[in-house]
Amino acid sequence: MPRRKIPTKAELIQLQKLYKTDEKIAERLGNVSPHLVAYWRRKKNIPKHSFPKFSEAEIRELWERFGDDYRCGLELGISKAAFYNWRRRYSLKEKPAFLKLEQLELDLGGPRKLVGKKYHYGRRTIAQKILGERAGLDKIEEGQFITVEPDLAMSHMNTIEVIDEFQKTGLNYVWNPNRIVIPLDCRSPFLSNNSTGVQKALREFVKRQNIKHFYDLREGACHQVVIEKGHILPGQLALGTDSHTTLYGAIGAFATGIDAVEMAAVWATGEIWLRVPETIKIMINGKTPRGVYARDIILFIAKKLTAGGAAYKAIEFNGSAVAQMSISERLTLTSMAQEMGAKAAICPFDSTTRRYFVGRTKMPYRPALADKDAVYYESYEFNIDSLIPQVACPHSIDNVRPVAEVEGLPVNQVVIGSSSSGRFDDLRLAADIIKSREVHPDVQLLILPGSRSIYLEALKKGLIRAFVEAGAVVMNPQSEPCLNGPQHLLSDGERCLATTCRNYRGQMGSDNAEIYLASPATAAASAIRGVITDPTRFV
Amino acid sequence: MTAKKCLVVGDNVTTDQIYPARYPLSGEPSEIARHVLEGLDSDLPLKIDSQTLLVAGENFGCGVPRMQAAAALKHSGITCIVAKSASRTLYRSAINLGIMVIIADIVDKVTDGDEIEIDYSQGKIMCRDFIADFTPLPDFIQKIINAGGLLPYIRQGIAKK
Repeated sequence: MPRRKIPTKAELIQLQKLYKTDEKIAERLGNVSPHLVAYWRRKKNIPKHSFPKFSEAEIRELWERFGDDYRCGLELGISKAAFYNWRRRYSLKEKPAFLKLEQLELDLGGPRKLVGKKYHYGRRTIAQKILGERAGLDKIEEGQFITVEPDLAMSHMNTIEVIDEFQKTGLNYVWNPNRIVIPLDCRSPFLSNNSTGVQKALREFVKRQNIKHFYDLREGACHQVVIEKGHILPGQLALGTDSHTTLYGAIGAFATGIDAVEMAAVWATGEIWLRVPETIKIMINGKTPRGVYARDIILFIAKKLTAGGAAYKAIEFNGSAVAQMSISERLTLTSMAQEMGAKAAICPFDSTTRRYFVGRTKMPYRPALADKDAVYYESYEFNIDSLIPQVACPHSIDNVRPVAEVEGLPVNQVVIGSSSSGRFDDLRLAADIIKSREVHPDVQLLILPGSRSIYLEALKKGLIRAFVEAGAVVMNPQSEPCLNGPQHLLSDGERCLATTCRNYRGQMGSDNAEIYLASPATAAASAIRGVITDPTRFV
Repeated sequence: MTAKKCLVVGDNVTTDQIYPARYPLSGEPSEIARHVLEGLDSDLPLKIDSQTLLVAGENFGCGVPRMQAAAALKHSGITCIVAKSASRTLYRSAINLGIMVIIADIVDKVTDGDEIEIDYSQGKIMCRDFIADFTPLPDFIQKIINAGGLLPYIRQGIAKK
């Protein structure tokens, strides 16, 4: 048998470039096993061939289509610098010679058409862009009154009031049953005096109007359901008969609350007037320290901005810390923004948002991003490198102190969950702390998963077992504490630590009870020790 | 354009002061009107009639969002409010019930009982010794107010079709 010639390193690299896999190289060399090729490679320190994430054809096609790093990056969900590196790698250095149709920014979809003008007026914030597009105006100013058609009209328990008002208009059918979403949730099961009749009337109305997106009591907290089911997409406009509708901003949508009369008008005509808000930009930079979560960050911001600090304004959250947050953390940020008086709160669309919607929707969507030179009403910058856990003390959302300052106050009830903090991440965080420990005998720990799917996932991963073993009460998916439910009414002098949105006087029963708001970690640690506790030593 | 009598309230009037939460949420308009602004001064409901112009300071209608506050103002006969700033929910609810809300800072310049004339289309507030400007509301908002609220306005639109 002739002695086999072992290829040199240069030869191997050359072969790898041509044939990619070890098997193909072995085939080329003939009478060699692929394992031997792999062995040579290892010896010569040549890494295994890996296919690039984006192929040359893909990058080239995008580059020729848009001719702009930023737009191309947006399509792939990467930054413009990353796209630039990719096209350098494939030596695409020159601008494409021919303009394609897309580069003309023709808008061929959507309810109202704006041909060729869309990007000509710069200096617009996300809020202005979304509202401007819906109103069919290319120039839009703060304080202007516009009439818009929403992409989503959400109403929960108070749907029955909306139906009452809608029937007063004398119309038989709603404007667009596909854009109306009704998740029943708060005050579930219904508590008003003629509750059964109300439920029946509501369900009959839904059937008669052919409203497909109706989620009965089983599904969970209204806002969580709407987002999970992909009813609201980036760049869209949502209206809801709940003040915490601002939550949907976490996925890059403009969402705001209206009242029942206005919702009835939307149902009747499909239109509502809005005032274009000024935008406050909030930059959150830095790395989140141990034991600090989105809730601590937003409480810290609420303290600086005060309870009415963002009244009638839109908020844009920006900065490196927000870019690193998951969607569930962003939802915590935007749900609390309403408590500062904000009309809407938006986290810009990025790759995290894009990934969140993969498999969640088949509908196309067009995210809106702020122009580089957008004009903001105010800008704030926060650095969270040295932030410590925070807690909002009674009876105002801006009465925020470090947990360390109130540590040791006994608590009677701890609530983890609801629409503001009932996501799987939040529950897992709490379960990690509670697991193999015992809830303090003087404390009622209530767990409210945000939705049915979160409940199921928590069951699957054993979180519910951990909670029940520790002595917690796991309730049906809902966002009830925000509407003063019966199971967790507090008596005079009792103290509750909750992960909900509001701590007004009387929010959970007695006027003389105290409500503290904190992160799920702080809540879990406090439930174990029976007193308000800094979670840092538990995580 | 008619002359109206001022009634001045201060800054940060909450929805709870406009219509105290201890009263029923719905009922006879005259019954609701009897409690309007009772949270500020129990004599106030008697002073309010359709000729009253409410002049408020900053952040009128702050606090817990509550539709009943705007409804109480409407039932008491108030048709126009001039405030330095107003909370979003009250601003919207008031306009949608047919109450004109004007954002202008005149609270320091007038006292109770002063007569004021307002030109809605030109955006001018005229009093004995001063004239203040405000940005006039767009046409369709004025139509909503003239119709007596958002739902009556929609009903008119439907009737025309």
